[in-house]
Amino acid sequence: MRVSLRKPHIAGITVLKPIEHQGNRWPKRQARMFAATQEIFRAQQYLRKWVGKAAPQAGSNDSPSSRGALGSPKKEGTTSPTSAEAQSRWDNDQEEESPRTLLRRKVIRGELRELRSEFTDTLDLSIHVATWNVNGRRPPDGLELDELLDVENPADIYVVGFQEIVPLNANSVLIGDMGEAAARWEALIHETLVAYPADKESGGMEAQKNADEKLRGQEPGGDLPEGGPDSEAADDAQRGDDERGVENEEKKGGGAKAGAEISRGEDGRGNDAAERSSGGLPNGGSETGGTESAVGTGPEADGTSVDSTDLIETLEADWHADASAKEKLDRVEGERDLRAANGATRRYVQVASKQMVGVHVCVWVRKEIRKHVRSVQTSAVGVGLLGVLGNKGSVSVSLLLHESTLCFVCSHLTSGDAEGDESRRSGDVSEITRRTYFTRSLAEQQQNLPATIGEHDQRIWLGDLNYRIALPDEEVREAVKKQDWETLVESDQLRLEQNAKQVFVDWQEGKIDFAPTYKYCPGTDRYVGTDPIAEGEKRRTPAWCDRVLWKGDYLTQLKYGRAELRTGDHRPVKARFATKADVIVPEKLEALLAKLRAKADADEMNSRPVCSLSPQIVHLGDIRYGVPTPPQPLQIHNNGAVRAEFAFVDVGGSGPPCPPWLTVTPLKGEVAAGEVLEVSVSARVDSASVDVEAVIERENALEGILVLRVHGGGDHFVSVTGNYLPSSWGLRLTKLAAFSEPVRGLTRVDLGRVGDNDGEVKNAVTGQVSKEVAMGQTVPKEVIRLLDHLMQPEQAGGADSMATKDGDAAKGRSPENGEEAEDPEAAQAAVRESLDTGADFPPGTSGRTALAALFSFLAALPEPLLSKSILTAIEADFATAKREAVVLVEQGLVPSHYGMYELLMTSFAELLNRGAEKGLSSQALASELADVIFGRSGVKEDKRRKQRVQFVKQLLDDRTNL
Amino acid sequence: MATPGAGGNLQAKLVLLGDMGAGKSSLVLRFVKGQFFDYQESTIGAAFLTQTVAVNDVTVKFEIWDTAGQERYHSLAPMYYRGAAAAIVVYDITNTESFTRAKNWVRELQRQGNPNLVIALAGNKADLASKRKVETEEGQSYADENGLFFIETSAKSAQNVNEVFYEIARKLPKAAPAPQPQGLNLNAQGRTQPKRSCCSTS
Repeated sequence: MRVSLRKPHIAGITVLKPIEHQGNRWPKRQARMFAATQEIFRAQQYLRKWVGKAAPQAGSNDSPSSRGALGSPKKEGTTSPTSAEAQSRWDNDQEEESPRTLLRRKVIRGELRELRSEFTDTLDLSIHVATWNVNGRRPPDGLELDELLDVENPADIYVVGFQEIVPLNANSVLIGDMGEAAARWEALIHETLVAYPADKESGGMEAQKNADEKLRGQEPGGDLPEGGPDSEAADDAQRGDDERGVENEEKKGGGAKAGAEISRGEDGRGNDAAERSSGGLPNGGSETGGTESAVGTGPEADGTSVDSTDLIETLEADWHADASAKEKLDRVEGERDLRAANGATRRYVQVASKQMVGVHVCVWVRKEIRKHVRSVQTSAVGVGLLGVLGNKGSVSVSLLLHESTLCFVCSHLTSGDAEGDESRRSGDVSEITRRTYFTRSLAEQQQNLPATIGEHDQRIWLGDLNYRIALPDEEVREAVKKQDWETLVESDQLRLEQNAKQVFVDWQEGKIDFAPTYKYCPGTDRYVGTDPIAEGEKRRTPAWCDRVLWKGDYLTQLKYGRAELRTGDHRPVKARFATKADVIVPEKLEALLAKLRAKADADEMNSRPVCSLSPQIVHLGDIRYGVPTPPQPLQIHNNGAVRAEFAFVDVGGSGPPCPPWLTVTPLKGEVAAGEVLEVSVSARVDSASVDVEAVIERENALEGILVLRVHGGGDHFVSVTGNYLPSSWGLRLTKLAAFSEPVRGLTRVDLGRVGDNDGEVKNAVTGQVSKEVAMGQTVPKEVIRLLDHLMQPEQAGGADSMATKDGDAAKGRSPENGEEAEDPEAAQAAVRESLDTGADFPPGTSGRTALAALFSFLAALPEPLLSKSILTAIEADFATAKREAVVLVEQGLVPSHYGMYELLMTSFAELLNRGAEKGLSSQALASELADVIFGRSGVKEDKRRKQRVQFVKQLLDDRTNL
Repeated sequence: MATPGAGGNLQAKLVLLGDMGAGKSSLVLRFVKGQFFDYQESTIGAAFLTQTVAVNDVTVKFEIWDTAGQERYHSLAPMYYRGAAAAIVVYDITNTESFTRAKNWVRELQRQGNPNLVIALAGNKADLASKRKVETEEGQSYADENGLFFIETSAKSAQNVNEVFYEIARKLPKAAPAPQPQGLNLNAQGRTQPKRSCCSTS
């Protein structure tokens, strides 16, 4: 395909295209809009498929517990889950991740983003948020999360954040936790979410309990570790490590097989969750879940992260060694699924899980909305030791729910009640806000999926923010006793910092109507430090360390409170939100797309040039042979908004843009918007451009259609008409000779009636006799008049002119007759007019003019005087032809041309004889004559012309020598 | 030709043919702009309009050439139907002569030899039932005999106007020929077919 499509194409389709590469005619914005709508067009066709598609398979592998069976691909020898593997598993329930859907989403979240409200409705949803600093403990036996998760009032989305999910010792900070603790907590959450309100006495539940016991088999007796690690000071870490060391010893003794089984099972889950969180990304940001809990994240993790592949392999080996354990687990899971299928439980699906050292967040959604959760991504930011380690920091989850983006930030901020610690905490928040980054694929970027916290529609920040109450210990304890929360809130560091615009500007927090959540003596309802003498504890002023804040138009807090779980030194805090998600309404989207299409069409139409022409018919009036008509104006009005390019084009697509008898100037050009351009149209008829007889057949009506193509704006037809004044020029000799009146009066009827006897002569007679007979009939009176004029003695100037240099004769350069010399064309036209009307020649008409007219007449004959067969003979064998010139001509002459030929040659011979003494040469005459008696073919080729001239000279010489 | 664009959308050249005054321009104007004028100026030329419709998962962008109906411009018609993917031949149900002319157009289109050309025969001015000269059955049976899609329309009342274009849009993808291997199609028609490589608007 040519690059240039400007030339109108017959196919027509390309007409639209030039606009694209002519930016000046197609405003950039419109071009963009057009491109966007093109995308929309494409996306649109995917829509139905997408909307009409059955819900993705709600397979059992959605359940976190079954995801523990991740072993299958590993059994085949894979070491760690590859990103491809993760991708394929993700795709199982994200079937819509096809290029089409992607494109559609790009359009919806991209070009159509600002119009979202036009094609979405909102769906009411509830989010339950829980945050708990578990003080490095694992879930003790019998712990129930029902109260924390408010399961009697199920939410659509659960976001559970933990801090100190592992003890913050040097080991966990620097090497990382294998996700074991998190897996236990998640298992408990899952159980809580799926179990309620199942009949706890059912057999199914029993199987569950058995399985759960198995899962917890190695828990150190369910006892709370004494004096749990104090996470608040880094120098406590060593102590904590020592304590854990004891625990680890216990674990080893408790049955390596079971431990391995559990580790594997849970590790698999942890991995899976991490894969899910990065599943939208082909290159999966992180390959392993548990190991991401190393230190920091991203660039900060360089050099400090630990490759846990070896560990995983070890665990796998153990796992494979105990296939029977896996079978048991499978059976348990099968029962869970069965119960789910029986509708005995609600089903929740974990969609994200992320841990960094002690900070952990996991997100669960109701199975029904699982398929509407996409592009889940996590991010971890360490702001602890050295400003990067993970003992403090955040883990965040970003997800797209229907068309709304949600962000959950779970953080554990700098502790301490020393002066200035609150500023460090606020600094942590801004650092986390600054450094939290959700890696997005190109496709996701094109969907405007958020990469930072601030870009999300709805944001919830939860965690142990560690803000204290800025009042003396005694006052706090006194107020606590009186449950005077208002007084305490007034001095709450977070509120003070917020009021000072130091942190969480424009974020909201619900009314605090519960007791400070920190710091309790584990297992009791007693704040630490209540009885310092008896307990010897460090004094810790009670504080609301654990908080939930939010920012987002769609978020409304319904409940804000705490759960009385006494496992660690913090009480968990919970918040229930009502929210909304924008949900695409296919009908509305269709309607919007239709509207946009219509707009795109309208824009396109409006950006096309619109022109009109006046007049639509151009009348040229009377047209004489060989005389150009005065030009008539044709106006192109550009009525549109853009510049119009126009060109006259041929009807057939490839020929000249207008009939040969018309002259249109200019043939192409441009008209600026609102302007008018005048094109001139004139006609000049001669036998080369028009079949004159055909015109007379049409009752002298000359008509042509000009097609004016405005690029991108359609075609306009212009009729051009004229009235031909019949002339002797361009008619066949038979016709002309048979009509005795002046030709101007020749009508269609006459033309049909007269002069068709040429054939008869040919058929009836043979040889010379017939030619003699035909002679008198075939010499038109006009020729005789011209020759008469030429032969008059006083017109010897005609002969004179022939004596001049070759080619000058017809040009009338001789200045002898001043009146006439100004315009030989005009003089000739005057002579022609006299002949056609029967009038006398204009006075002073020179022989030269008469001769030029004669040559012009001969040139205009539709059939050349000497037939083509003669010309062929000359060109085939010039020597022979020249030698036998006379014979050749007499044999080759058309009968009706014989008389004319004889008369011409006789007259010219006489002229030559008369003018000999004046230097008139047969060469000069032959030169003129040769150009007009063989027709137009090859006249301009020197060699062919030379042969003709010599041949004609031979003819003349034969005559003059006689 | 219907030209597949990126993503499987089509661009289709559509030409309207029919006797002067049958209502070609009115049909197009109704379809494209939803307008109707009792006095519609006679088309001297070929108006070019575009309109996009979506049917059955496919978006079809019509590039419509609304031609002049006057007999004197008949010789120019091939320029417009050549390379077209679809044609709507329009007649006026109150005018027998226009039906005859419509049949001539159909013959001419069939002679021009694009077997994939989708031809619709539209009996327009269906609102003028009292002046009807061409019975529905006549149009229908002629269409049946010639494998055309037939429908009676009224640009004035908008009756069946969109339907004509949508029905064509539905038929186009089926009619569109499979892409030919390069180098085989060297006839005149092949040369005039736009290639999509550089026409693509994406």
